[in-house]
Amino acid sequence: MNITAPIRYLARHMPDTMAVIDGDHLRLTYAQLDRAIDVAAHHVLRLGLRPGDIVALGLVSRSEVPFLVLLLALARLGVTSAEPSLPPEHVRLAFHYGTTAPPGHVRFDESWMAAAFTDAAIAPAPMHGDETALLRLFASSGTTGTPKHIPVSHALMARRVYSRFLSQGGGPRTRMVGLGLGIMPGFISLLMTLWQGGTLVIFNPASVVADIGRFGVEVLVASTASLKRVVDLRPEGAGPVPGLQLISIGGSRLPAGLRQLALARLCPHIETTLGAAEVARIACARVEALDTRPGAAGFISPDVEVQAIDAEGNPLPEGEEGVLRVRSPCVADGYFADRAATAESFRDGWFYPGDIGAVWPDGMLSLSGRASEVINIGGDKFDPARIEQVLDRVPQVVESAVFAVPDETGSPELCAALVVSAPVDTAELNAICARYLPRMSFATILEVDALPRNEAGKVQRDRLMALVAALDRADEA
Amino acid sequence: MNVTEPIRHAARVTPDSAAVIRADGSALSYAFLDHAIDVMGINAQRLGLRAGDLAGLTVTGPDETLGLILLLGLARIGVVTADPALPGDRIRLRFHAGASGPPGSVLVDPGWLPRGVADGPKPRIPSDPDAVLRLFESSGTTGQPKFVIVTHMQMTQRVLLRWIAEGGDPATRIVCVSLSSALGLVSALRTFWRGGTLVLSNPADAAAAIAGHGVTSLVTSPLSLRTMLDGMPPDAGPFASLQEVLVGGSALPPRLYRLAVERLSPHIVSTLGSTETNSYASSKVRDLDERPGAVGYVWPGVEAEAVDEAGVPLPPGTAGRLRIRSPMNATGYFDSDPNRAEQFRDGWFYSSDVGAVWPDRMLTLNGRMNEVINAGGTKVHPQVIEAALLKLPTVLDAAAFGVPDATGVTRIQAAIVARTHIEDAVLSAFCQRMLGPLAPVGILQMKALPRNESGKILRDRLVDIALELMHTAQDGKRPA
Repeated sequence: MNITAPIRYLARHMPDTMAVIDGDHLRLTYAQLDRAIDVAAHHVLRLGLRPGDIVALGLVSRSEVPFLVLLLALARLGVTSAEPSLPPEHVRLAFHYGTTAPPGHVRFDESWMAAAFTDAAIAPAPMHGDETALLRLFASSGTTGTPKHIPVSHALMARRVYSRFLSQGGGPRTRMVGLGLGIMPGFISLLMTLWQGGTLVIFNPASVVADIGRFGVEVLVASTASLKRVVDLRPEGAGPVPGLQLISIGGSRLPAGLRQLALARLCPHIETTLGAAEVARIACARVEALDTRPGAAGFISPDVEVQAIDAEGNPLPEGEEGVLRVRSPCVADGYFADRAATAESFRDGWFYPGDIGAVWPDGMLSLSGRASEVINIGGDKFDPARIEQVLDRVPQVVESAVFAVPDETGSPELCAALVVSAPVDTAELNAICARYLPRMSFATILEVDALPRNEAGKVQRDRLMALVAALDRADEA
Repeated sequence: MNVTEPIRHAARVTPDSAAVIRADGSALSYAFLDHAIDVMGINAQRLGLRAGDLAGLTVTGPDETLGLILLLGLARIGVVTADPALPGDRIRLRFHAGASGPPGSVLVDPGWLPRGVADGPKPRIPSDPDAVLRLFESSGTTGQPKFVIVTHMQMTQRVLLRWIAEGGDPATRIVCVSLSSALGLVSALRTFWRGGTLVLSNPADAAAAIAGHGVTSLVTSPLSLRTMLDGMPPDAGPFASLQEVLVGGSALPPRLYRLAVERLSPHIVSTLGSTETNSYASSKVRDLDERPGAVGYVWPGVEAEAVDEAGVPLPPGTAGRLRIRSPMNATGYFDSDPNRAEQFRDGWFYSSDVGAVWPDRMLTLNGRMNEVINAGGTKVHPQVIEAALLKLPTVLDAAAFGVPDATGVTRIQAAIVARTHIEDAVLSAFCQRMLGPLAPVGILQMKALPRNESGKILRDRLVDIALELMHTAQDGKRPA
């Protein structure tokens, strides 16, 4: 099935239901959205693009609706879109949102769908029927190194949306997506809404709280970063936003401080999800359920299998920690044009996300860290997530990231970056830490406005390491 | 994925929500349902059943709860279920939910259910998407019932595409068709997978159950709908809670539609499909346009085409034999003979419906390729009825056919030629015993059956005669 086929069906089934709302700028019913996709497809065909071509298309601020319509138009025609980070030699042409385009780019904007409401002569676009066609090359949310890209076919994307249907209750919803619509969890959220006749409300940072009320938003999908922006808009002592039934957080651990603020000021129901662009969602749970076990990440989705394995690759008994691997109908085949990385992470039908964790008898998955992020200080190996959990319990700490930076002798030292709501005493932090990690103290504690995160919301520890290293050099100078 | 896996998930995420409300009003939580499914599986294993074995089981009243949970318990451990009527000796065990049943069947009583919810580790659910879930009985075109092989994966696709085509809201749902039929089981799973509530109710009490439990969705066939409307107290309905009345199995007659809108809800959905394909086209009836025979838009993810006799696709809007291809399609027929395999070719299912698919994917139905009577969702070949009637020693000739009743629902009628006149009461009692729910509602006794030159029974003539008699009878009842 072409991933735009359900939109065409719903355009006939419920033509006047609202599909997309972008504040006061633009509203599209299902009939109008379907028509807008066809009209944008008409532009794409005139560029000479054919099924199988790869084009670069990325989301920039305030371009959400034209981006979404063009993304779906390319999909309808069987043309593959890619994150602009894909090396240009693979790309036939690159799209650019705006009134002018840099050399070598094709510009697009709202005018590409304007004819949807005026020009009846444009015929419906042919629906590309081969579901093995590539839909998009998604950027992997890896936190270090060069970006990797994951080819996802229409069929694989359909399985991922289905998997989301199965892991999350709720039918047609009015959903606000505070994630990039071109990254994996954002794209799945938008399809999950539009395949069920729900309404997608565009996340507009300036008016988000008002929009939730005005448009009857029931579910807010957000990263920790976008959640923090919403929480900051609410005055201290404000109660939950009326009508909002669920906040779904993806991409990273929800820090305890931010969680408390969001529960009080936005919505009493928050779920957090664990996933990766390579496999889509793995686990999900309401935040209360996560308190039952340290490192709890959620209940494993019904159609997903997760194993913790030992060094020899044998599955471990329930509750025992090991390297995790994941198998499901949603696992990608590998990375685009990167055999080495594919061979490392995709083996025998399993995806190895690089996490360490355990699977429990009640279906809960717990994480104790990333195999690749384990910090080794003088032979003591420990996992940054463990220390971050300890730091997050300090009331003033909103969120934290722990990492190691080599000192002048090259031996790694423990560092932390904190977002705080009130000043915090370094000695106090070291004392708390010492309770869990004897003989250990922080060489550097940075207070920052926000943790650097990638588009999927994952903390970029490499950027924090570079920042501390730069500060050290400045000190020496 | 095993089709019971999402129930385990719901038991973790919403353990205390009501999964089932029984006819007596008691509720079973998701935690209980999931545990009961495990216990039923263990009970079946104690009887020696293993993955891949075939067990006979059909889910009908009086206690649908037991039958449904047993069916899910067997599905969870990979045991294939089939209607106990499946011929041959392939069935290892036949189950019957109730105090007494056919000889040789294992009686399932409420003692099979656990007393409460158990804590602690749960048995692992085997996951083989290509494992067979059930052999669903389907009306045969030759008079012989056929058994349609449906895997866990195909059933999963049926639920997921239905969510897109007909909505995935967590529902409080009454299902008025057998829960072991393809439509019944998919409707139950559609409910459970979303953490909704399945309300079990006798058709006679359905109206009270809709009001009492705030039912949002009703799944029914034209015949059950008619029975339900007939039995409704005059002051009951319409029901504001009912967001969806899904009518499957056969075309919804306009008169019955108007009655349903008046008494139940304006949200009536017509859907077309078969055991072999699942539903594959649907629409709100009020949105159907003027095209004669319009039943609904073909679902996304489904290819439906009208083809000519050579199997070549016809232009849009041209009527021909309908063929359907989708991931929901069944594998084929059990113990398939070459004639039956004709219907499953190259991934397509060749239906017995004649219809057209229009450029906007609206599907219109123009008739059937064979004589199967679709009595409001119950499909039966005339030969089944005729063979039963011919067992009466004085009956020389018999023909069965479908006649629309006052609301337009097709009812089974028959005509016989008997050596001497047979009392209506005798005929009626005999048919009830031999045919049960398939017993004709009226039987004409004639001197000879109308046949064409080659000897083929002219069923259209018989339908005309029956309609004429019906109108005469109604005129007679009309007050002077």
